[in-house]
Amino acid sequence: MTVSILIVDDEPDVAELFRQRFRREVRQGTYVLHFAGSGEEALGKLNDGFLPELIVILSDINMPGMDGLELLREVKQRRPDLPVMMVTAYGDEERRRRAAEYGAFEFVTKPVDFDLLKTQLGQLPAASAPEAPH
Amino acid sequence: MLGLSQFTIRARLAILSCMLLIVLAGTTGYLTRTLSDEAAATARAADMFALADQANSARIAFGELRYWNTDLAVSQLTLSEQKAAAARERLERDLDQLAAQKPSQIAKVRAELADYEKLAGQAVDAYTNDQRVIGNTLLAQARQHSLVLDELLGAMVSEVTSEARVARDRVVGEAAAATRVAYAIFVAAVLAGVLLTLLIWRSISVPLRALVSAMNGLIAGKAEVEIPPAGPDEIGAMARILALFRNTLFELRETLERLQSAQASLVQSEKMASLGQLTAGIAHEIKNPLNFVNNFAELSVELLEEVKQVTEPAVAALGGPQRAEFADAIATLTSNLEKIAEHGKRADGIVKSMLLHSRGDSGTRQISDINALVDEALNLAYHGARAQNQNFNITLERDLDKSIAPIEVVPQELTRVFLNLFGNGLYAASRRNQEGGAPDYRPELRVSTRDIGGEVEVKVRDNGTGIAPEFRDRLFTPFFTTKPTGEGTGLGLSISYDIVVQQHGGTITIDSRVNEFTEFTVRLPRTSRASPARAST
Repeated sequence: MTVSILIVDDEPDVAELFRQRFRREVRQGTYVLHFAGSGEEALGKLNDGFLPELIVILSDINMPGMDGLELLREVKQRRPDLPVMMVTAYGDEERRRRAAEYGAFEFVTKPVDFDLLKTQLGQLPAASAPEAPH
Repeated sequence: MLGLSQFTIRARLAILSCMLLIVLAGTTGYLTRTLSDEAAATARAADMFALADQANSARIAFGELRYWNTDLAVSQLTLSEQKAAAARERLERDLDQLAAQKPSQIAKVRAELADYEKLAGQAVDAYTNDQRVIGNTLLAQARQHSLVLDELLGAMVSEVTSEARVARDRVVGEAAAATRVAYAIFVAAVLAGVLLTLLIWRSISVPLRALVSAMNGLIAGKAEVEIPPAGPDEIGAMARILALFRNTLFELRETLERLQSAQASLVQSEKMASLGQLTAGIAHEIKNPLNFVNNFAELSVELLEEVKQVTEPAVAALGGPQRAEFADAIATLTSNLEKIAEHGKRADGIVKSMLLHSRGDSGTRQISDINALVDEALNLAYHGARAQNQNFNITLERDLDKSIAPIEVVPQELTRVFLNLFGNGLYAASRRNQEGGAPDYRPELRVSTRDIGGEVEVKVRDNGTGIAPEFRDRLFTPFFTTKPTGEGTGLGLSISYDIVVQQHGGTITIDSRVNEFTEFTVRLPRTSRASPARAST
């Protein structure tokens, strides 16, 4: 079953990196990768809905405009059941605590360990919420 | 001297004045009394001379009386009678005055005079009656009495005169004696005054000079100058104040030195803190692009592998030299990418170390046994060094003070510090060994702990290559290292400084001599006084 992953980062090369790292999974049809360059764009895409089903959002924390933690809160209001993983270079306690408070599923420290990330993604439960209407 | 310095200077001057005043008053009193005595004696002597004159005048008057009485008896003239009466009157007046001074002698004189006048009167009567013979007899008898009388008066004159002389001589003698006494008193008073003045002057000037030289010493900056002992007088009070002043000066000087060294270490801490912040900022900025470099390098190696697989059939169809060329290019490309990944990882390691400077107070303080931490870190460092170099051997000496009570520290952070210091010591000792010093050189690392009251001291001493004096100032600066490129990040001591000084409020000092030893001394306070100003990002 093919599922969607949304990756939110203001750094354009992140998209390229994920594409290459997940090239086999994409080729095999395990995942469809979606990218957003900002929190606002991510919310827009979430409103538009995803095909196939979106199972996780991976979001950077430090972004201009709406940052990752704000995005996390917005997402949790709309889709409380949708897992959100926070990715950041700053692995400090305060951010971790706030991310957990807002309901982050996981906290990933940069540089991303892709093998570990793939394992974590594999263990995700398929989202049970109905697809947002078109 | 000692006696005088018991009194205040005011009292000393009062003593001098009083002594001179007493001498002056005594002398004046003595002279006044002597003078009045002498005046009375002089008056008495003058009275005596006047008395002698009177006696003489009485004698002359009696001589006239006798003459005129004789003349009257012979001539019977009224004039003679008148002259005799006048002489008699003068004689009587003189005798009256003399009677006050010499009553007994005058009484004798009057008795003789009465006898004489009686006989002289009878003689005049006899002559008047022309009884010449009787008259002559009577006159002769009167003459006998007159001679006695004259003798009496003459004796009185000489007696009174000699008495007057004696009185006069005594006055002159007493005046001369008084003059001598006055001279003697004057000379003694002058001598005593001069002596006392000198003593007082010395009792003031000597301690004053000592005080002035002490003040000059203080002005010249000699704080150890001796202050003269403080007496009970005004100079003593000044000396006490000067001593207080000197002690205050001492304390101020010490305080200034402490402040200066505190300022120096503050400046150093501030420098380190700002460097730490800068380091953290740079590290964060580098970290992200470095991630991309590392990731894409790794990915490229994987992709090249895929390229090799995909192109395998086509490459197999190529001619020999071309195939070899293609395989060579792919291999070189792979190796280059591996090098990029490898060096990227190294850079990532440096960045991670740099970020350790800026982490918040991650560890929590725990009551820890410092000896256990030292022991554990020493074992780790030793085995780490052995793992890198099997031939490495060193004598480890532990001198741990078992009486040290556990102190509150962040144990994992202190372990980092000890690992750094031990690692450096082991490195320096092995380096000196490799450089081939003296043949009897034995690498040695000595670690000692000691309880010094409010602080715990850890000394790490190696007999390695030592640290050149010109490097000392930069030892704790981030990225400063003397190790060859790739062997050290130059962050170990910088991080250690941060942990000991900023986090634990302790000190870290160094002593070293090139090719002899290096000794690091870490002091940790028992009570935490860690600086709250920590670089945090």
